[in-house]
Amino acid sequence: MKALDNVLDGLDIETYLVCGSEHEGKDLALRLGHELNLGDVDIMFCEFDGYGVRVRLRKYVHRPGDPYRWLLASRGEGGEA
Amino acid sequence: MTPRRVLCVPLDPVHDVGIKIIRNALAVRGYTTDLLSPDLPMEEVVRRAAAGGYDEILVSRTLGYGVAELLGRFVDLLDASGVREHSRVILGGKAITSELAAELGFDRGFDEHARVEDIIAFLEGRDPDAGTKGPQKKKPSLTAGYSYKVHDARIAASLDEIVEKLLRWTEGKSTPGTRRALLRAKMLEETSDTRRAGLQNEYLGLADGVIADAFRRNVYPKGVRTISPEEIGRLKEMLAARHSFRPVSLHHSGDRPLVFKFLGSGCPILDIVHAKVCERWGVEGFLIINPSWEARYEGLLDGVLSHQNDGTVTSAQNIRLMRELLDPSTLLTVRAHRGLNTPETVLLAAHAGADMTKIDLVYGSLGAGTDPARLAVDGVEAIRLAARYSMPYDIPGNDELSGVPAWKTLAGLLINVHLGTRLGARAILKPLFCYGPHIVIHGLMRQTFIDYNAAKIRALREIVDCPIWPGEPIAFMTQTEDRVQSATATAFHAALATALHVDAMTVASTDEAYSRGPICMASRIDSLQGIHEASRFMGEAGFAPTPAADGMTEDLHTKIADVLDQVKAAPDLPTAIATGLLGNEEDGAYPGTFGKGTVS
Amino acid sequence: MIIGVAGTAKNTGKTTALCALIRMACANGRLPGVTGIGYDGEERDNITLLPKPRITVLPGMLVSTSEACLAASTARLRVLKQTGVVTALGRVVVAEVEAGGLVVVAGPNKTSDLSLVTREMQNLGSTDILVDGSLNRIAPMSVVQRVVFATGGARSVHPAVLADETAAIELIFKSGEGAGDYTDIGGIRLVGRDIQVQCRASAFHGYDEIAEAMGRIPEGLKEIVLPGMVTADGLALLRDRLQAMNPEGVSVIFDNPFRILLSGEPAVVGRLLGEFSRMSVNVRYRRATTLAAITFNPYYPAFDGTSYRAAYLESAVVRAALAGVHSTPVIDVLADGAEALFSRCFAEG
Repeated sequence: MKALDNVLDGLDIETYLVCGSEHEGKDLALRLGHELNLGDVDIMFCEFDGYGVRVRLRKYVHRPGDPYRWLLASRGEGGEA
Repeated sequence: MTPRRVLCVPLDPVHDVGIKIIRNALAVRGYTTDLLSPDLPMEEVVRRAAAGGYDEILVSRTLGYGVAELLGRFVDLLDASGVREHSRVILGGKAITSELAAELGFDRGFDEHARVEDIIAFLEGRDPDAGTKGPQKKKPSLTAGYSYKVHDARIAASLDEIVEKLLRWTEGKSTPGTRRALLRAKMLEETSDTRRAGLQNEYLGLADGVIADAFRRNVYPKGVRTISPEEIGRLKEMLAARHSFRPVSLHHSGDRPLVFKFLGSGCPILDIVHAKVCERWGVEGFLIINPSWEARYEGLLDGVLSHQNDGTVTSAQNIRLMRELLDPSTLLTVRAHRGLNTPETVLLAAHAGADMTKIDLVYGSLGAGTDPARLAVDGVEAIRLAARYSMPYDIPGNDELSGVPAWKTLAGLLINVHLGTRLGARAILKPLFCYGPHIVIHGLMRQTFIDYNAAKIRALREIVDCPIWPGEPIAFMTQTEDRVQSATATAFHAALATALHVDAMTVASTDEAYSRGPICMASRIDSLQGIHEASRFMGEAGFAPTPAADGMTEDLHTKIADVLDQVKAAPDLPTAIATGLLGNEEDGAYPGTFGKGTVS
Repeated sequence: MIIGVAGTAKNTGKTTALCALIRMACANGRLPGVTGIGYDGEERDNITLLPKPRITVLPGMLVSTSEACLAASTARLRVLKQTGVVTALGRVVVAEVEAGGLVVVAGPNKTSDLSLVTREMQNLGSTDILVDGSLNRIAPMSVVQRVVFATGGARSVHPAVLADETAAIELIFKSGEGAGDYTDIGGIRLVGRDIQVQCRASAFHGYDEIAEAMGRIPEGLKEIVLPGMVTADGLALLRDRLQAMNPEGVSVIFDNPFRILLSGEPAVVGRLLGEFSRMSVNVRYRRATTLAAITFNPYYPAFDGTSYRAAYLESAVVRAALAGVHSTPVIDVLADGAEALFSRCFAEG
């Protein structure tokens, strides 16, 4: 089981990307998702300030109604110390 | 018990604040305490410990490179000096766990989140976990103690007449919605399978094909599926194996306003896990939000159902599962007023153990798409059911979000409250704490967000003695998709609600302004952290509205009275709504069309 | 036989040595009981977050551990007895292994509790008991009859330092038991030709306490008994005061070698004891323990400022450095196997 399987719902990435325009910032943000092996990520927030963008990106790992891997994995570990 | 002797040892080059706080708390409880200075050589500490005849030795130390060995040697020196034969040795500090304490040979470990009470409980031999579970909470009542008396005579007269006219207008009228509610009630009480099947056939005759297909052929609307007993079993196992760890209260003083959150991811499993985590972070109630398509269909689905898109399906089984797995003290509210199933939803919610419901005849017609005449008949029946099952209902003033001026919205809320009082039900006013379009256009919050929100509460309080629960959620339209901005906006509005001594508030996550995906757990926690911090910051102080708030209060009060005069003059409430007296096209409010022509 | 495995630091291979001893003992038809003075056997090290070995037990063995650890063990355990001892992880029980597997051992963590629990295990049938150490902790080990010291790269990456330290440990453990009756004497006692001086009851012997005692030396001093914990500066003062008189033939009786080892850096303490010998002072213990072997683990977690990574010392170099300074066998359990370790620990006599 991967650690990613224990993400309850979504994974947010928040950072500041150095770039020359909001358009470039968004492009970089999307590429970042792929470079981190997360595939397509959603850009939740992206604000360009002249030097770069403050971004909030999200990857949904488990959407409502999906088979939740954290639920499948929870079986059999009932006895917490 | 005999007062115990405690030696407090900051085994740290500098930090001794935490242990000083603990020492003071112990002194207050009658312990004899000695505090060593933080820079003593370890041998000197051991000498003092050996000489002092202490019952307990509290050691504080932050974990870091090489510290484990240092602490291990310290315990060894105490052991070799015979100190451990009469003293327990307890370790506290950042990143200290029970496992680490055991490895190092201490009798107990506490990390930086431990509360002073946890440590005292351990010293006094009480259940060391007692502090982490918290006391059993009592279920709060939002409506207890309110008289529902209308203080303003002019408004009281208008409301009386509006309500009487409405009740006369609905008398003898029925809709597929009210008839299904009757059948549902019978189905719920029927013990014979055959007779229940007959009632169900009759019920499906009054339902849309989509609903009938689900009952008869197990074909569900797009994105809906049944949740298997195995999935439910796993959820229950998972929750049984865990409990709320060091629960947080969002109230720095007192126990109001109660904090509510929306649930409605579409999947009850995810909703419940979110709710359990939220309970730990201080949330005291939840509002289940249903899918928007439910409003358009006659009839409600049956079963434990998951829906892939926004909104959790209103079914008795879904509500019951949530009720079963939430803390008994947590309040659960089911939204009824959207669409064509208002009375039936109240009935199912009551049977499934929900505590409250949500009915607004005006907003349901103007902002949520139901035909005013249909909702008038359904709404009156729903409020009668709420009275029968003693379920309070809240009335959200969300028409303001379309651009309806606050005074028209508040007038609508008052009509709903008065109707409830007349029918023996108990309502809760839900004015918005929002930056709505009308407010923006007219610059009503140009100076501050405080005045106009405070004026709404003050005006309502001048008019009626009724609980007030700002929503929905507070800070609506002030939040952006930035996480910190959103949490901060919510936190400030929560502090304002607290300062205004309202009864409850609905709060958003930091995903509030993000509409392209479901709400995440972390985003819920973020805004709750903000509220917690705001509550702590403000404490028992408050916000002082500027003198402009007085003028705004007076203006709202007068205009509410004027609107109610106009509604009183209309033939009946549905006509008043349809002709725009409580919000017109210019305001951005359009009477709904779902269920048009179904009143008979 | 009660055998302890103590470490000079964390990650020196205590658990590896313990597991090897269990394996060998079982293969030779002796089912040892197992307990530990701390918490060991967890999957990941609490501090470095690196994986650690766990303890494998076989059916029929007795294990003494805290209740919270029972559920975390994969072996099937049947609780035979509550010992009345409580640790940070709950009550300590003695359990019998019904089906083999891995166990987490967090047993009694102070001397008197370890003594009580090992007695319980002996009463329940364990002829041999292995006591796992924890971290660098050694004080409770005074209960054991034989001890294995684990050292290695995690203690120091300098072979010379390791050699100095292990030589000092050997020297500290070399002395035997004294002949007198020293039960519960309380404080320091000075025995002279005609009279004996009994100082106030205290199990802590620092500089001040030793200065006070040495101010009361009786005529014809024969024996000094120090039943508690002696600090390094106290030990140095004792040497100085003895040096100032003619100490030849005087006996100095300490409680046990572990308490002396705790006085300060082993190399420093070893040097001090060496000076006692040179003055012809007899160093003896109230309760002696045999140093059975020294195990050496080349592995160490290297810290780069933010995280740990695995690193290894050159085994041959270290071994040569250690062999040059003492006679106790040095065993790298993973490289050499555990036969020698087993025979040193379990040999009769």
